[in-house]
Amino acid sequence: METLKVEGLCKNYGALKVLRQVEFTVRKGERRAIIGPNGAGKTTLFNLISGEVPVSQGKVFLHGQDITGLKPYQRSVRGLARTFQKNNLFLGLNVFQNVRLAVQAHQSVSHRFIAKYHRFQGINQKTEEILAHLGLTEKRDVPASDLSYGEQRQLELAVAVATNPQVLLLDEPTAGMSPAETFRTVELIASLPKDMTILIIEHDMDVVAAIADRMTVLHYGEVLADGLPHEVKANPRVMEVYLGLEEGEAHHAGA
Amino acid sequence: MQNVVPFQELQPGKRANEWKKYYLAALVIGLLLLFPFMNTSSYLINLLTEVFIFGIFAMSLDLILGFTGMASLGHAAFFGLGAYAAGIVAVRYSPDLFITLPAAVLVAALAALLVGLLALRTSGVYFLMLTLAFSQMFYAATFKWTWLTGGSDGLSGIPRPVLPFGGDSLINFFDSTNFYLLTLAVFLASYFLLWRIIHSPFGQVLIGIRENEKRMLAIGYETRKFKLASFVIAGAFGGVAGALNAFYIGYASPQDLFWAMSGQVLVMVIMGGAGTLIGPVLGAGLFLMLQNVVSSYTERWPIIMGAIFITFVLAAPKGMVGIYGKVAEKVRCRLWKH
Ligand SMILES: Nc1ncnc2c1ncn2[C@@H]1O[C@H](COP(=O)(O)OP(=O)(O)OP(=O)(O)O)[C@@H](O)[C@H]1O
Ligand SMILES: [Mg+2]
Repeated sequence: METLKVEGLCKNYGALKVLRQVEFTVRKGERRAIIGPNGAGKTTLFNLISGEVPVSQGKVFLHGQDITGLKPYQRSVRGLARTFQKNNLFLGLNVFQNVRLAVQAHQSVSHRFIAKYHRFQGINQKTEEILAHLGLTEKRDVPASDLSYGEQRQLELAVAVATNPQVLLLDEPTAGMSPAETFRTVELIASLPKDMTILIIEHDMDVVAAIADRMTVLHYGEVLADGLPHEVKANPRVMEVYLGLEEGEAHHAGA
Repeated sequence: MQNVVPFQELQPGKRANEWKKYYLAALVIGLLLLFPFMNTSSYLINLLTEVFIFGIFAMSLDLILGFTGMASLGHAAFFGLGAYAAGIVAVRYSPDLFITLPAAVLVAALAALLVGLLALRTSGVYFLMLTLAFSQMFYAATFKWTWLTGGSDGLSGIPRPVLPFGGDSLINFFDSTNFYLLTLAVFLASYFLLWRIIHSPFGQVLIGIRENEKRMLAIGYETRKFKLASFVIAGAFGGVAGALNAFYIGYASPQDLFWAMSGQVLVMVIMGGAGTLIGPVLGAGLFLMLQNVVSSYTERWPIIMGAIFITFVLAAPKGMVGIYGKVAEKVRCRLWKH
């Protein structure tokens, strides 16, 4: 069953064509890696899917519904969540509050303006569960601004997961993490519900190998290859323009 | 999951602290109630009455500035509209507190809804400019609609409110002690309500918007709706403050809506400490006290007030609450040593 589909997606910034006619279909429960060199347009693709940036042309479908014209919050309500390449947290709030806001988002209690928030035990309970699942319980009272970079990356993931999405977009979730943190994060992503559809932008090929069952290769805004990992790796064009460059251009500066 | 500890039980220390806060609050409220009966001069009673009025005004601005993260330079519009609404109803219809005060709330809230609907299409400095522009439009209207507002002379002869039961004979608000107690009661009720709002799920959404609106949108909040609600609530409380002020001085004037008034309340919030409830109240207190003292020495008091404000912003960007926090931290450090 198709969960997410993009059709003829184009994005231009002035004369710069960042995405050209990107198309693919993602089945329910699929774990798809989006790879490609720096500047290939991967983050832009996520921005179009999540609605942060308007498309120049093309359409985005979620569960068969055209969501191209919807605002980010409307897409979130329909079950889409994302993490950001650059941490995008509530820096002045502690870890618990960060996650609680995300849990609360889809619980239809946000109009309650006199009742004390800590009376909503269901939300607190859910928040604690997510913190435990993501290994952040010990940090629950620490302001997000005081976390290490790797911990902030984990919180970034926790906030997205806490909205209980059906489709999750992860933009380089392990970038800047220590090997141990990367390992934990990979385990964690693997432990997410099997029916959750996940798209992951990742430069670390070991992470891709551990998580992805499909791959899409972007190159200068175009889909170069799309298929099973071994097919994509064997694709001569991919070998030529992407994997061949792995030592140089394709290697991510932040990784 | 079984190993999850319920939220509150994780922090026994914090709960003990909460109790300490309640005791302190009870003590302060007790003292404020007794204050006029401690052989207090009417000067001090009136000063504190003003602090409560402007405390409500400053807290209401802080709901949008300090808790929702939107800077408005037009908040005086709601103060002034509240003053005129209460004043006009009191002069023409009835000085009943339970009619004049709701009228002020209603008019201020409706005006905030109108301004908010339009101004919240923008944000940042554009929002600031639009709130300023709208408040100046209301200001101009008070001059134009002389038949209703008294024009540039203002609306004078506004009586002190009366209660619907017992009338003047029961509690006479022309008496400064009684009026003090009335403003204290309205102030405490406003403080309590705003405190509950901030600590509600809704209030947490506002704080989330202040911290990172883009992420709030990404996780599913229609932030504009919440910002509008915050703006309307703030406008309503601004109207309450304006009404009390009109009762207090018996007068509503276009100056109540002027941008200088918006600037003044902004200064109160920032000097006291934005993003807290007590901060704006302390800021209002400091501002009014300084104004009283300095203006008794020199005509050039606005210059001196300006200089004090600049010093505050540079030396204590988190206001009086921030200074208290820093001092408390140092004291705790000292105590630890010995
Ligand atoms: N707002 C913008 N305005 C102009 N150009 C932009 C904008 N956003 C992205 N670009 C350009 O679009 C191209 C693709 O950017 P994008 O961030 O999508 O790449 P990416 O594949 O995510 O790269 P990386 O691996 O470095 O994260 C880059 O050349 C970038 O400079
Ligand atoms: Mg990117």
